[in-house]
Amino acid sequence: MEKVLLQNNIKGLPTKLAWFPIPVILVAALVLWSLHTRTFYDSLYLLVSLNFMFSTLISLFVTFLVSRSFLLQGRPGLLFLGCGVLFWGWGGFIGSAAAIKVFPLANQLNINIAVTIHNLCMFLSALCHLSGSLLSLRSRSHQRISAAWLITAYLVVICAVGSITFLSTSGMTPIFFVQGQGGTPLRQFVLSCSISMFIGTAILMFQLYRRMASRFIYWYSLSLVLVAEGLLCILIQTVHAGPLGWLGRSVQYLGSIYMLIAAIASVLESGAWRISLETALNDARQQFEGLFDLAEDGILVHELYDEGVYGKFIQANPAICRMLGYREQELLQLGMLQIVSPEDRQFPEQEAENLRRSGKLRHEKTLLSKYGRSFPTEINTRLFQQKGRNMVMSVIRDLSERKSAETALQNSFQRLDLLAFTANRLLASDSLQEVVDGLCHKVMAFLDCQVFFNFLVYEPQERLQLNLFAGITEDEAKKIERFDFGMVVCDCAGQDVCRIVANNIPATPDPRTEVLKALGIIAYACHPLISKGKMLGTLSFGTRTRTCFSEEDLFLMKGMADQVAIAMERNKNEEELRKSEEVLRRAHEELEQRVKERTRGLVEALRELQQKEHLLLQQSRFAAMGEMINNIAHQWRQPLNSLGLNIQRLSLFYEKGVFDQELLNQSVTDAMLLINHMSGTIDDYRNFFKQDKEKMAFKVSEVITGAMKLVEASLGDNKINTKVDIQDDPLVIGYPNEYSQVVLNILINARDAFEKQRTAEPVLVIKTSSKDERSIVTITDNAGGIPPDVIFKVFDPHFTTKGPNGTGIGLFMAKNIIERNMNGKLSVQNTRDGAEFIIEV
Amino acid sequence: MIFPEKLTVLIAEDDDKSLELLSSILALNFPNLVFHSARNGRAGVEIFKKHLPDIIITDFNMPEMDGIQMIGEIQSIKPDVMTILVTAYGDKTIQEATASAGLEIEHHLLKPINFKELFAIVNQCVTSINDLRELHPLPI
Repeated sequence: MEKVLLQNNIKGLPTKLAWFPIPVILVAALVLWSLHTRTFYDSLYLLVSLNFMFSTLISLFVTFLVSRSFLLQGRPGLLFLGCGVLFWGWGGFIGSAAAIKVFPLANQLNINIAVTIHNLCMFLSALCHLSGSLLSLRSRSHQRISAAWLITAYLVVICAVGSITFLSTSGMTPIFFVQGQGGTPLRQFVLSCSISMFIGTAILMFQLYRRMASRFIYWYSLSLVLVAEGLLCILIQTVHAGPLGWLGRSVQYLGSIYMLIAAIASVLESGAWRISLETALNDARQQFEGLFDLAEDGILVHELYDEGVYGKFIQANPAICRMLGYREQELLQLGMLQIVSPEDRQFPEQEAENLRRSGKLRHEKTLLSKYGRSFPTEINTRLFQQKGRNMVMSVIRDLSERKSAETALQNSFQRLDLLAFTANRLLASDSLQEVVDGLCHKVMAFLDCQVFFNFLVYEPQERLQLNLFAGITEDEAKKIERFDFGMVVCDCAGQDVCRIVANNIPATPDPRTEVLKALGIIAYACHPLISKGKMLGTLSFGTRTRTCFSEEDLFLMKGMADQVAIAMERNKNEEELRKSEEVLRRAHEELEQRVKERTRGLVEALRELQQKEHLLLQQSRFAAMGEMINNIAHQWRQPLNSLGLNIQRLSLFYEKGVFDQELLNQSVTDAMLLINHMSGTIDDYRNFFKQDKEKMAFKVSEVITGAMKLVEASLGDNKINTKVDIQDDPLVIGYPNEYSQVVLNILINARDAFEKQRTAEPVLVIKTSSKDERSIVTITDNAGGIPPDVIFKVFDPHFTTKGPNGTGIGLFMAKNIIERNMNGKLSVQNTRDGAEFIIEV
Repeated sequence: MIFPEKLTVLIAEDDDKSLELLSSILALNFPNLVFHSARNGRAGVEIFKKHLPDIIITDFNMPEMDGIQMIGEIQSIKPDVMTILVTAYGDKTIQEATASAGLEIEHHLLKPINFKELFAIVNQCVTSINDLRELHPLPI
């Protein structure tokens, strides 16, 4: 930003248009060249005066300014620049002047002399310019330069110009220019080189301008271009002082004007115009000496001899004098060894060697003052050359303050460490009491305290109770065992919930400090233990050796107290937590115990129930089997009787003598029929008792017919009239044998009811139908029905109306089979004459 | 000794085969007796009214009218008829039933029928009837 602003300042309108003459002149030069005008007007006197006015005077002025800058800044580039300007300014003037002196009239010879001197000077000028600009670009180092350099350089310039003049006037130089023909090849070469070097310098300077944005450099580079253009005109002229020659001269003068502008701009820029060189040098010197004198660090300069031996001090600044307690004159009589403390005096040779090798050295040494005080310092040493001698400059910094600061820092680190250690211990430990005790002892040792008390608030009575203590006897402790609030110092802290510090107790008449006084405590600090705004107790420290505590000491105590308070609170919380956890745990255990007992009871009940059910099943099996055996007996009685009669008949007929083949055949046939019939009956029963393994589709009517067949004998014996009415006979899915057991059970119940009721004309109607794809079978008897007070109990296990002969299992099992195994429904209702069972599957 | 007429026997039995067998063997063993047969109790009563048999051999379990009911009706017509009840049940329920019906049944026979027992009972009945006839000869 700054740079942009600067550039804007520089570029006023004239500055902007400063480049404009350059192309115009170039075009003019080419036009004139193409015209080949041979007219000329030559006047050496005019030339001398013009050259002197425009080149020489301006060059002197510019050289003066450049020299000033050189002396101030010490840049070698500026020196070269000055030389270049001198060559350029004097070349033309001396050349023409010399020509007049030798041959007052303008002719071939003096023209050649003028041209030769001018051209050679231009060449040297261009060379100096190029070197100067290159040096400016490359090195920016400030070197201490004396005016001697300046004078030498300018003397060289004068000598060079003199030599050239002498040589050319004596005719010892080659011919440079022939009027009408132009320059000789040598002269053309020299001039071309000069032009190139001027242009190169201009380019380098322009680059510099782009970096530094200096108005001086801008105008100066343009002036160099103009000079180069002027030389170009001279280069291509064939006639000395022709129009081209005059253009070239004019352009060179324009260049010199540019140069003047550059110099003035530079002076204005730096404001250096007002300062004389002497003042500037003086200022610089004073500035340096001021720095030397004002420096906080001690500075010593002495010589270093080749053998690694230090010489006496040559310079010493006030700071080192103060540091060591010597006057400057005294110090200049001493060497390094005299001010270094004896233990640091070893290996000076090696140090000197290191210094010589790297040019600088940094080390810490303890120095010894005039009065024998030793103090740590840091010494930065540099080696430099002065008048061919190895000089050593040492900058010495007193470290004793830093050391003491370091000690203080270390101390405060220790405090923080102690606090961190406290926090750690308090957090890690379960036994708060022990830890607090241990830590307080540590703090005591650290703070040089001899006494500490820890009181705890004993809530009901609003008083403090001594918990931990150190530095007093048991008897003394008994005396301060408990206090009501407000009685003594430490209670005040508790009461007001703020820190109480009592300094210099023996000299303080306060009734509350009497207790402390009695214990020989001189300084005392009590911090409340506060957690969540509530006071838990106090923590106090007392010393018998000091009259007061420092802020740092109090800070440490407060930190300690805060941490102990937090730990106490935490401890309390943990205790409560543990208690509530214990309660929870107990409740949980009790609950678990009860659940266990309950579960055990349930398991037992379940097992009992299972056993009962198993027993029921067993009983129902037995009942069913008994029933079946009964039925088999019924079925078999008759055929067995017939079989018996048949067999006995054979022997009777034989006795009576009427036995014959026919009778035998008849008897065998009859007997086999009976046996087959009985065998079939057995199969029926066996099938009936077979357990269905899988569900299958079956017709309800077939199962009913099968069941009827099993009990028909039994029903027949009871003269029961059975009617089977099959209205609809859908297929159902389930266990046919189990279903048949259900039907059988109901039939047997009906039979038993008939028998019990002695129904005159027992009628049993079995009807099958279907409704919503479910089969409905109703078994209706006319045995008077079930008494209404027990009808809802008939399906309960063990409920029976048959007295000791009934098991109460049959209908229970029947309901189980239909409803649980086959997802059906078994119900009962009373009709007008009897009971009606409805099986819905 | 004059027997004005042969003794007659009624056999009531619902099983055809058994009835046929019983009839044939009794006829073979007692050629002097006349046998009538009935398929059930009601038929038995009808036949009894017609022939007034001396001895009744009846099954207990029969359709229409069982043996005990039949005996009851018959005894109301002719109290001194000799009765033989053939039952399948060895238990006392039948005897209780008969007793409760106020009947007096002389002989019980269990199925399956043993010929020797049956013959002995029939013989016994014939003898006791003959004895009664000798004591109280029928008025001719």
